[in-house]
Amino acid sequence: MWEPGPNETASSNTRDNEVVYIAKAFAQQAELDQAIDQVKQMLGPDVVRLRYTLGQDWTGESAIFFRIVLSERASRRDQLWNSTSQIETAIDRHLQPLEQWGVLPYFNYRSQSEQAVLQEEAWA
Amino acid sequence: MAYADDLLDLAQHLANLEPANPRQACLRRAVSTAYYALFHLLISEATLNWGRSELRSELGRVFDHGKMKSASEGKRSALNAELGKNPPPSQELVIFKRLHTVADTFIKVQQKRNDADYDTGKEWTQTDVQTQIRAVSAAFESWKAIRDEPVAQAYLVSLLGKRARPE
Repeated sequence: MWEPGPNETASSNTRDNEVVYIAKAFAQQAELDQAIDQVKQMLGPDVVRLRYTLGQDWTGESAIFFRIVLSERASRRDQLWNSTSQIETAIDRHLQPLEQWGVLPYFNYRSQSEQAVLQEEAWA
Repeated sequence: MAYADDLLDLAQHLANLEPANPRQACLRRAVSTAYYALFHLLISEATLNWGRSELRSELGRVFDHGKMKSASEGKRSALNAELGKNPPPSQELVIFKRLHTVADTFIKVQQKRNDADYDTGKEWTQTDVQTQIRAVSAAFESWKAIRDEPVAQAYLVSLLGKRARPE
């Protein structure tokens, strides 16, 4: 019999007795929020805001989409790669999105000044 | 690798075309082109192993975006497990990290390419686009450093995808 992995939760029995497994990130969002808050504190002042959405990527796999607003310093061309590499490494290492939560991580970035122009609520 | 390198240059050119107020179309094409640069780099590297050069482009058409993503996920997970053990510094560790960069970047930029090509509601910014292009550049550098390593060559073969053989 198939057993749920450490990053999965058996969510419900369907009418034909098939058990559906969903990623732990969906089943335990309060715990995920806490874990992300803890990681955010490690990221320093260059991460001005960090938001996320759970969903599916284009192949239908469970995914977490991070939206990260960077400081102007961190989003300068000569700093951008270093800044984003450090952020993604920290999130991969401390949150372990796929291994611990069952979701593939994707990262989206914009600078404070770009967000000031676009004023998108999802990034605010 | 000339075509893949040209695509990466083109992605950067498109991203820089209108620095002050870039149109979404330029930014979207830049993201998509950066993905295709990595896609074609890996395919061209894989098909280079085929002895009959006149058939390499035909062989390249066997590769599938979804299967390449699945294979990259498998490799990424396996490497995460290895790297998570905090192994001591070694040449093997350097190779693993570089291959992780390639597989991880492939997964991420493929999703970006899908967003850029099909999600017209998404607003792209220079920051996001430059991050993607730089990630692909780093994946190119990593690949070129490990391309002859057995683990890198095995990764190329895995990109073809697996299909269970009927019993």
